[in-house]
Amino acid sequence: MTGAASGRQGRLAALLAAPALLLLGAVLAWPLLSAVLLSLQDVRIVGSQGAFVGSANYEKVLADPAFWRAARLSLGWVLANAVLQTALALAAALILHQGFPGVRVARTWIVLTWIVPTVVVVMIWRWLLSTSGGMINPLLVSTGLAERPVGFFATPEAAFMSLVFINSWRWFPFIALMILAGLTRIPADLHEAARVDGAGPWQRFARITWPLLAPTLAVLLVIGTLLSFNVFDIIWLLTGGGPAGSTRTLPVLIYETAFRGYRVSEAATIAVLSTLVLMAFAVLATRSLALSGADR
Amino acid sequence: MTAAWRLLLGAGIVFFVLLIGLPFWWVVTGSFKVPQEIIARTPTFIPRSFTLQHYDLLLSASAYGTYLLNSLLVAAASTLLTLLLAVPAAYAFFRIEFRGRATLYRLILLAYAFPSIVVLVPLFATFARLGLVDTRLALVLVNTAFALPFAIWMLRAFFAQIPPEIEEAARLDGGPPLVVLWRILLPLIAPGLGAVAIFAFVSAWTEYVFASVLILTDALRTLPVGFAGIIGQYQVNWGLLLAGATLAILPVVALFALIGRWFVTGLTEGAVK
Amino acid sequence: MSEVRLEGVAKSFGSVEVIPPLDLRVEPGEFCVLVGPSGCGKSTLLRLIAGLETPSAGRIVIGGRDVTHADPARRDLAMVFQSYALYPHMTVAQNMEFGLEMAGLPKAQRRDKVAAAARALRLDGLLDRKPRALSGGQRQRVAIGRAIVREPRVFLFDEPLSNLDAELRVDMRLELARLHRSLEATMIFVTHDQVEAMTLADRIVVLRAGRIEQKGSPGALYADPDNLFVAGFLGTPRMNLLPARVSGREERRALVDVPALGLTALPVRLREPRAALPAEVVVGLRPEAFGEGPLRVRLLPAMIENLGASRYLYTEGERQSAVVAELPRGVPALPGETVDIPLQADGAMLFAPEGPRL
Repeated sequence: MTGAASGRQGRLAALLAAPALLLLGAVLAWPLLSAVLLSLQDVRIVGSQGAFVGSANYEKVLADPAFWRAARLSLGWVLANAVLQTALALAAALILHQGFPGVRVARTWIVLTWIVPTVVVVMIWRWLLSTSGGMINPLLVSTGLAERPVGFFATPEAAFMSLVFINSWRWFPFIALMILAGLTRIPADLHEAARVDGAGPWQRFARITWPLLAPTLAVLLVIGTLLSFNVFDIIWLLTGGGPAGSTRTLPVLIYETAFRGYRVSEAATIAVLSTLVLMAFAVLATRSLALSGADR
Repeated sequence: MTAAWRLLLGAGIVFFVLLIGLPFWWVVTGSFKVPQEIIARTPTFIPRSFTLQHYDLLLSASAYGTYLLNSLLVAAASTLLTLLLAVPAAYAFFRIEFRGRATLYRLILLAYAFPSIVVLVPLFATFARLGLVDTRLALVLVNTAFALPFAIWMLRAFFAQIPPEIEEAARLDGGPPLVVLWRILLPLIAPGLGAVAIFAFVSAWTEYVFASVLILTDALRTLPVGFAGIIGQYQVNWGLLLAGATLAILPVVALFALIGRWFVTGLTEGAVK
Repeated sequence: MSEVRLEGVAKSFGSVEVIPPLDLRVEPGEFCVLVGPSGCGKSTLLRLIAGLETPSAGRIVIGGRDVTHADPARRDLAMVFQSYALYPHMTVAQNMEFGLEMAGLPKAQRRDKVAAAARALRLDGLLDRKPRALSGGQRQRVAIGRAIVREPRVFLFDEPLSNLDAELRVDMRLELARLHRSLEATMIFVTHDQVEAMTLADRIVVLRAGRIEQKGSPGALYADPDNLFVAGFLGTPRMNLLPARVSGREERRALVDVPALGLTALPVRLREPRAALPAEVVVGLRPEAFGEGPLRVRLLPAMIENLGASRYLYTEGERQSAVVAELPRGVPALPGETVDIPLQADGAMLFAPEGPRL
């Protein structure tokens, strides 16, 4: 407690935090509440009015196979990204934690993929992976690795995997830096002590780095899960949810339902359901990992 | 370090340099290649031709320049607003005891836990009522709101690094709270401000979904949306698209060259404590 | 120069009472040292006076003005922190100037005052340096300079010397004493180091668990402690506090048997000649009571500590039960070999086992 008079301090705090809280309330909290209201009404077009229908939307959505398919795809999407993203990020972070010439530059510029607009990421990879022209396919064909150009977005499975790769490519450096943060937090003398005790690089990783890094990784897995669940633009711009709905995750479904299908209330219902699941996941994950200390 | 270990490290470095660098190398060099070379069956690593024709066409035939300007405006304004809101809020959260502060802080962090797309529909309705649809201000507000929780979280570590005695000394020296914040604390968290600025700028610079829904007039479009339109229009004119991609990379790269190191510090130190 | 008065001041953090209601008067111009073990509430007390904490009850009066709820800046005091708390991004001059600037002093005057303080503290050549380019001692002087330039009526020091190495600490102690003479300001100094307290203070206030155990001049506290705690806290090596039995009574003295020293019917002067005596008591004997005198005791040294000017003998046992004795010059002593040393027990004190002096 640093207050000369805690009442005065409280007022000051309120004054300072108020603008941020107001904006968050107006742009995040209030629309979230509106979404709940919308899900209980029958609104078709954005901005129009609708009658109160109670849980009808929920019944409809929960009975809709398209919703369950999107939910399954979202789950797969989150898991696949978590694995690929974390694996790449961990490897990159471990490398960046070493000393080698240019490591400072590397630490800064690794996030290049993240600071570029998603549209550009999409364009880059659409070109690189294109079947007509592009870079990867001519390379594959000319080196004899493939007979014909590979349709990276042609089949449902290929499209899904390509998307996972591109999304992970965009996000892994960001995660890598956060893992690097966890690594730098491990006191150097621990490594030195282990070295004196005769532990090799692998033993030092397994016995010191890994156990001390695990809590950080757990937090990042939670954050990463939330981030990748919410990914919409990459999918929408690359495949539009296709082919044959094979990449129509929940965010894509919400967008399509609201702005293509003109069933706003249904979209809000799906949105509310996703939010509930995500929040439950976030709360449970932080609880079970006993990370409350990590976010305060 | 054993030789095998060093080899492994070297291989890893090469892998990541290629994974991240190669696409960008191809894009940037590709934008200067003549069309024949771009679609050549055997791709070239080092360009054999040089032309600015793609840039000419891009800037003359599309409103790319307008989009770029809009994006810069929106991103700059969002960055400024994020800083203006995040710094006092972070100060309140991390330097002042008040009741309910832990709860409130947690609530703010929960902002990550819901899909941004959830608020898209209701927000459109609200903004429509307020006459904010089809204004750049709408984008600034949205971008700032989405950047704020992370920005506040990042500043936490920076405020935490300042020993409370420094602030107490300043108070004993007679500095009113806002003067202490401005004269003593802000200079000390400058790297954190840089980190927040970059994060806010990048978030705004890359944002697509809200910009695509909230902006209706072509002249107000930001780069991601405008460029998406150009992509749709020029489907396989790769040269033009590569030029567009290169130009879209340029501003953030420039910004990052200036204060990128602070961002990395901010991110790494923010995650630490 | 101002009087500082605490009237019934108490402080609780949540349900934890750090300082029970307490009264304290610091005279104008006095150098008052608050001393006690860590966690005794001395720093909290200082922060209450500074206004960095608000008391849960009571009044704080500085220079006749009630400042209980006044802002720290409005109390006309300056504080030197243990960590110095220099502004890292400002030069030495800017650090010292900040308070003056906040007070609205014109630039020219600020310059003059900073220059004067810098001269007094031998910081002349360092004014344009940043704190990180300074040594510990220099930082310490800047922190003091920052306090001086504002010419406050009260100076507060929160363990300002504890981050310095031993030699520098002695220098700074002398410097502070000199400063106090030349400034004639009221100074309140917090430390856990009883040597600092003894050397600097006009008056020492010994604190334990937020309570004042005793206050008085260093000499008085050393020679005439009120209780076991104060007796044991002041003085190095600490006073021997040995269990004893009361075996008889003379008019102003008690006669006690001290098994640890093999003494019987040792006469010890009583503070209150008519006080009731418990059967079991504690006898306090300073290590320097040994060395010469009419009595003789046989001690078996477990360890000899040679400080050059003096040597101390420690017998086997816990800190509480072992005997520490200053060895007389010229008397050879080796661990494990019994020695016969003289003892002057006139200064011995008697305490009840619960603590109070008898």
